[in-house]
Amino acid sequence: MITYIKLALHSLKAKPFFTFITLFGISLTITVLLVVGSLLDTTYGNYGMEKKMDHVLILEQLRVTREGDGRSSSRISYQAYERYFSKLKTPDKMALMNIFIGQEKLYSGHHTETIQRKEVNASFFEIFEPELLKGRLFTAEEVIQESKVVVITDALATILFGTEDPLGKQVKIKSQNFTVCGVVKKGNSLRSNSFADVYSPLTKLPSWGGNMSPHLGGYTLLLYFEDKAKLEEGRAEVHQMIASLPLTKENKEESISGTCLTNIEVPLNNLFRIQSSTAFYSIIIGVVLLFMALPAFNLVNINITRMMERSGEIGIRKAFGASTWSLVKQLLMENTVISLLGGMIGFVLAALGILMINYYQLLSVNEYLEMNLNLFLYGLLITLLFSVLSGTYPALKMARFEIIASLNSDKQ
Amino acid sequence: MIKVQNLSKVFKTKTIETWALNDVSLEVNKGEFISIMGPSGCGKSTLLSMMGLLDRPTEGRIMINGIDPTQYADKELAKFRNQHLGFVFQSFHLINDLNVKENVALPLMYRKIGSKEAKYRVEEALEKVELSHRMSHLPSQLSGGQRQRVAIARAIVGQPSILFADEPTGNLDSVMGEEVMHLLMNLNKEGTTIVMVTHDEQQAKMTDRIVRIFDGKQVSVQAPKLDY
Repeated sequence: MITYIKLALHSLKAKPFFTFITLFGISLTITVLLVVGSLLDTTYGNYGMEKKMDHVLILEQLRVTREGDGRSSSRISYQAYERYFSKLKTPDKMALMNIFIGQEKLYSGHHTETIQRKEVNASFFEIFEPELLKGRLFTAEEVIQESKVVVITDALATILFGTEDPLGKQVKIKSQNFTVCGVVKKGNSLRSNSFADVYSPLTKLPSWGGNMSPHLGGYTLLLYFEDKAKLEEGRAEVHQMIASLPLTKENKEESISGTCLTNIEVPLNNLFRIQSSTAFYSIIIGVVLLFMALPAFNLVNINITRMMERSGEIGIRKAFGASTWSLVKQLLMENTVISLLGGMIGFVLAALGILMINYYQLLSVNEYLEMNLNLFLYGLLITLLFSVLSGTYPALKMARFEIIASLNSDKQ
Repeated sequence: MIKVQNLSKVFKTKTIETWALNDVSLEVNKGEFISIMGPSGCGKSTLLSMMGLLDRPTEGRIMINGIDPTQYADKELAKFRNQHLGFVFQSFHLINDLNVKENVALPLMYRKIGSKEAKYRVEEALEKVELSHRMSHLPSQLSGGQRQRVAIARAIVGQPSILFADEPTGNLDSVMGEEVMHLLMNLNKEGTTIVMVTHDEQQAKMTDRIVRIFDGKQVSVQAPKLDY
């Protein structure tokens, strides 16, 4: 093994131009894949506040169809939760939240800040477990009473109150005064299920009325299952419950349906109405392979050209006892070494790129990319895949060269 | 030691069939030094390639130490070549990216042999060809004669019982050619069987036997070893 690695490094040093071109192609591909991977991983991975997200089902939308071609879709109403969904048996915990899409203004003393707020029930903090830095989280009792308390992030606390203790301080949102009861560590807004600058107790808004279904409203329901194996059972129960929701005859409602999804099923459902985590992973793997195919084919081409140049060497090695298999191993090892080198450069470039994206806030305020061990391991896997993709065919082709023909092509 | 029976080699294209060797039979005894002579294109290098198992015959058999290695699969054949045969070529065929030491060590790479043992054998082989002081040089930094000596060191480092030399002095001037011939004679004296293709009548006369090939066929065998 060590000999093969030495040989590989030797061969790379001997052809600096080829090495440069190859490293450039691999490192650029890995860099782009890692940055995009980091975006997906940060958004959909089970990290930070959302480390238990793979145990959660999200009931985002109900769709009500009416006679003719009328159709309405929205999140669920508080009444639908209270009367029906709160009675679900399979989930261990249920978090209800009202997401204020867009931004709100928060006033405190002479400060005016644009914030993102989530109204949540107490179970929200049991599912997402924010890191509590000061004070306390609000209780189930305070949610029932719709108490005017808020939990804010440490970043917001520093902006609003500097070094002063934020606990007990007043803030004003939508002309209502709230008392700060707790401070949590700020999350990453790419994790949209849990991120907010301000968390306040849920307000129980009435249904929209008019010709809208009483089941439609602005609340998102998160169902948490201690045992992941129970997710499907839970999904079936939710779908059963949706199917049994009463229709409003006056509104000429014909049917009601809804989708209960895991976090990673949400994007595909939103884009293509596909509800499958397998499809999500398949599409990601497909895109990765497709993205890698072009530089890999290019590398195959470069490798073949380079190996033609080395046919003399292959003849010599064969004459002195190298078998086809040992040559394939040697050539694959060379390709693996260069791919890993390219991969390492790619890792460094990706890390620098992510640092730059975060430093200059190129995504959006509060959105920042993260790199973790998993991403590093996936990157490593991709790099190895790259080496196999681009090295196998040229190695097999080269190892099959006839000895005499190879020796005759050797220019001394 | 080597028994060649009715050996033929045909090179075929879609339209042409060329008989490079036609029904050649030959025996080489253990410890013998034979030379194969003939005009250019007569098939002598093809014969050497077949005997050295670098190419497969179209017809006929090659027995080495009572075994027919042409029946071996790729892996066994490679192992057999590695353990029993050594090669010296007219164009040296050194790997230009590797230094002298690494070039000489090449056959040992394909054997299960410890690095200390390999180092010792490489140094010993280089000492034999008097190139111990050029171990870290690249082939491009050596003269033609020195390159051929490196090639000889590579051929003998694995202590093969048979050495095949295809016009080993063909690219060298007379002085260097003589040096190389001297080395081969010494190796033969130490017990290595040598089969050499040459154009040089004088060098051929130094060997135990001369096999003459013409137009793919063996035409005569002489035994005129001169004192050297």
